[in-house]
Amino acid sequence: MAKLTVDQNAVFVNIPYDDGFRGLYLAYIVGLYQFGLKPRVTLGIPGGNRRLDRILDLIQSCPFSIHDLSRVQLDRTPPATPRFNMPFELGLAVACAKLAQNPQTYFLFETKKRRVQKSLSDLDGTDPHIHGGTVVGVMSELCNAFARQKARPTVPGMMKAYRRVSAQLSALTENAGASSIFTARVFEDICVAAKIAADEVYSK
Amino acid sequence: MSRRITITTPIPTLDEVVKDLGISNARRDSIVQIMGASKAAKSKRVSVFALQTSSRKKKAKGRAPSSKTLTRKKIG
Repeated sequence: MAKLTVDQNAVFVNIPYDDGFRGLYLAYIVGLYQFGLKPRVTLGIPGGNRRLDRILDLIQSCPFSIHDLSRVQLDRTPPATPRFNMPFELGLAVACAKLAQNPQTYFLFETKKRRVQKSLSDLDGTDPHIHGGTVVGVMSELCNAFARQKARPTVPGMMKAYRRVSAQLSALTENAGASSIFTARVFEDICVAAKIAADEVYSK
Repeated sequence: MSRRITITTPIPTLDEVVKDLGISNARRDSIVQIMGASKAAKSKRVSVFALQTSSRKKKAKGRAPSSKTLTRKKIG
C-alpha cells in the first residue's frame, strides 16, 4: 500500500452538494481559508469501485475533518430517501481517527440543537457545533472549532471575505464554463478566490 | 471528536495554494482578474458616490436657506 502524504493544513469537508446549501458551502471554503487551512471535498472523485478507496485516501490525508449533518431529512425527489453520504463519511472519519496511524481530529456541525443526539445516538456525549443554517453561524462555529495564535480571524473579517467571493460566484462559475458551483473546477477556483479575499482581510 | 484545536502551521501563500490545487498560471491570473475587477468596480462606485456627495454639499453651501429653515428660525 502506498504511503499517504498528509498535508498539515488540509481539512476534509463533508457537506451536502445541493442548491439549498450553496451559501454554507461557500462559507466553509472562505472560512477555512481565513484560518490558513485548505478544504478538501469529494467533488471530482469519479464513481465506481475506486471511489470509496479514494474517499478513504482523502480522509486519511487530512489531519482535520468537518462533518455537516444538516441534511438528515428526506429529499423531495422520488423515491424519498435520506442522505446517507454524510453520516457514512463521518463513520469512515471516526474509524480513521480511532484506527489510523495518523490520528484525525473531526468536528461535527449541525443546523439544529439536539438533533444529532436523536439522529445519531451512537455519538452521544459529543458536542456538535450548531450553526443554525446561517453563514454567520458557520463562521462563528469555525472560530469556535479552530484557533490561531497569530493572525486570528474575526467573524466580521470572515463575513467581509465571504461577501467578496459571493459577489463573484457567478463570474467564477461562468469563467470555469460550468453550470453549477458543485464541480471540481469551480471548487478550485473558489479556493483561489477565497485565498485572495483572505489575504485582503489579513493585509488590513 | 474535538471541540477546539489550535493551529500552529504557517499560513500558505497564494502561490502555494495555486500549486497545491494544480492550477495553471493562466487560470490563476483569470481568477485574480475577476477578483481584482470586482474590487476596482467597488472602489469606482465609492468614488462616484463620494463625488456626488461632495458636489451635493457644494451646491447646498451656495444655496439660499429653504423657507422651512427660515420659518423655524423665526419661530425659534
